[in-house]
Formats: sequence, C-alpha cells, structure tokens
Amino acid sequence: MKFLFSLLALFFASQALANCKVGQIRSWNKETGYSCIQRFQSDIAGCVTCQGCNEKGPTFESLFANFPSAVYQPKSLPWWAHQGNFHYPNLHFPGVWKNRASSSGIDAKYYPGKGEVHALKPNIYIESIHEEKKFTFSFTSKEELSFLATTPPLDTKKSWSGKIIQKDRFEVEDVRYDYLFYDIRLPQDKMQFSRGLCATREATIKWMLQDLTEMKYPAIALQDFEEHWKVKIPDFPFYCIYPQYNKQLDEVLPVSISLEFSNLNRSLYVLIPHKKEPDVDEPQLIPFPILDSVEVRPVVLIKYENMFKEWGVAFLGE
Amino acid sequence: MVWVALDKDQYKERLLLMHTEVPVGGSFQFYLRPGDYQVRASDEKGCEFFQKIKVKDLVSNIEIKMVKK
Repeated sequence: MKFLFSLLALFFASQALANCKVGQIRSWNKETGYSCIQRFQSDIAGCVTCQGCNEKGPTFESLFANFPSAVYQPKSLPWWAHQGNFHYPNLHFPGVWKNRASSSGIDAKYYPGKGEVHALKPNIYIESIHEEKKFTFSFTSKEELSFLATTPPLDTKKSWSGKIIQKDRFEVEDVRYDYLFYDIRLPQDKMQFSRGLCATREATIKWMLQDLTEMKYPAIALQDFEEHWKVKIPDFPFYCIYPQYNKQLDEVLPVSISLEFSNLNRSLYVLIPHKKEPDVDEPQLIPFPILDSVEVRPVVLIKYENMFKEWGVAFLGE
Repeated sequence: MVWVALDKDQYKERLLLMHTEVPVGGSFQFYLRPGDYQVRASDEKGCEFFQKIKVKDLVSNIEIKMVKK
C-alpha cells in the first residue's frame, strides 16, 4: 500500500510539473505554484551557421529545461553583460580602470590621444516629424580631436551623412542605426566643476535619468542609458556629478547639423568616484560642486522639427 | 556587440578597452595604441566572431564591418 501511495504521489507530482518548452524556464510562487516563463535570453537553437555554436544537437542547457528552476532569480542584466563577464574581468568599469589613492579613474595609458576627460558613449538620438529626411552631422572643431571610437565611422570631413528614417532612426550607407555613437577624450580645463551634486551610486544613476527625462529625451535614449550605465558605472559608494551641457560642449566639441529647423540638446555627466561619503573638510583634487546645475540646463520649451538629443558619461583619466 | 580587449590568455589580464553595439551591416571605427588586441563580435543568440590584431602604428584607425552570412 505504501509503495502504491508513493507511485501515485509521483504520478500526480509529475502531472503538476508540466514540461516547459525550449526557451522557457520553470518559475514558482506561492500563489500560482509552478509556471513556465520565457527565458531571459533566447535559446541558441536557431544559430546553426555561427562559429561558436554547437550544431550537433541540444546543448547542455536544454537538457535541464524541464527541471525546476532555483527559487532565487539573479538581478536582471542585459544579455551582453553575461557575455562580457565571461570573457573580461573589467566589464563593470567604463574602460581600463586604475584605482588611485587620490582619485580613481580611467587608466589613460591604454588609450591614444589626449585629454583628461574620457567621454564615453556619447549617443545621439533623433526625434523628427519626417519619415525620411537627409542630414549631415559634422564635428567642426579646428583643433585635433582625440576620438577613440565611432559608430558608424566618420568620413574624412569628420561627419556622418545619411537619412533620418521613420522619424526616430538614422540610416547611414543603407544601414539602420538606433543612435550615432562616439567615444572621445576632452580637455579638463574646458569643463565646469562648480555645479552639480554628490550622491550614492544608485542615486547618481537615478538623478541622471531624471535630468534627461526633464529635458525630454526620448524613451529609447533613457532605456539605453539605464541599461548601459547600471552595468558600466563602477561600484563606488558615492559619486559627485558635474553635468556639462551645450554651453561647455559646444565650445570644446562644436558640431554642425545641415538640416534646417533642428536643435541639438547635449548632456555629458562627468563622474568623480568617492570611496566614502564626501567630507567637505577634506581637500579634494576636484572641489565638491556647490551650485545647482539645473539652473544652467538647456531649456526645452520649443519643439523643433528635428530634435537631436545627445547623452554621455565621462570619467577622468591620467 | 563588438568588444576590443588586450590580447591576453589569462582572464584577469584580458582588459576590455571598449565595446559597442553595431547593427548587422553596420561599421565600427576605433583607434588604438601599438600593441596586441583581440576583437570579438557576439550577439544575443551566442553567434560569435573572434580575431586577433596587431597594431604597429602610433594611432591606428581600424574599421570593422558586421556582415551576416
């Protein structure tokens, strides 16, 4: 009887634990019990022609698709963060990093060019009334510029030329881009270090997102900002934020857009990490900010036909 | 995603210099000091491309085009 009872228990249990499909994992909560939910990353079953794939059949992962998942679910990270952590030790830093007693930041000896301010991932987004409109975006500085990377590549005139398509995307050489991107080094003496604030790492990210939201950056820009920087801002307990807006950036890195009725809104947040809560009695290489940055933020009252929006985060390097 | 890192066998030495998303068909241009590097391109499904490059010029301009076959 005992054996029969065990068999029946196993039968009913197996019915409750319904097999999940490939690409799903089993999740549990006390209200609904077991259920199948979509796996965060898609399975690689479709990748049959790539170099790194197993073409012979089910992978190790899919053999366990029907097993109960762990109760603990790790924090959601973008797919590239899992790959990056697997290959590189410094994924959670904006570049090659150096911890120094005075101020930690980018280890500049690994990068070409000059300039203490490493402006990383300025991304440029577009909101336009046009389904299709030609444009050229040019960096017009007469000084030599220390670009580190761009997507798409700049032409010989330091420009991107192409089309705005479907109101909110770029097309350059027949390829569609969600945004234009560059990394660059800039001189520290052209930045402002009197306006801003200091906050915890989490509050720093929230404040920057709020700042961009109030300047009416599009949803895709906010989403990309949060996804990228929640991974790439190093895990220091505190940061001081020194926002740079059009006033600083148009002087140090002037641009020209060959599209009438256009506006470019620029934001670059220079972040200085601190290992402990900032102490105003302790001397600092970069003084703590004492004035409000919102007072000098670009005013976004007029809606232009073509609104270019640029955000970036920068760290000092030496 | 295109990743550019120092060409090192040891994980802890394989420092990531930069990375960015590049759409299929798109191009990525980057500048490096002389040295040995590795370039990796990967996507969400696990497709991957890997190449080592040696940079000799003081500041090299390298362009990568992402092509799907």
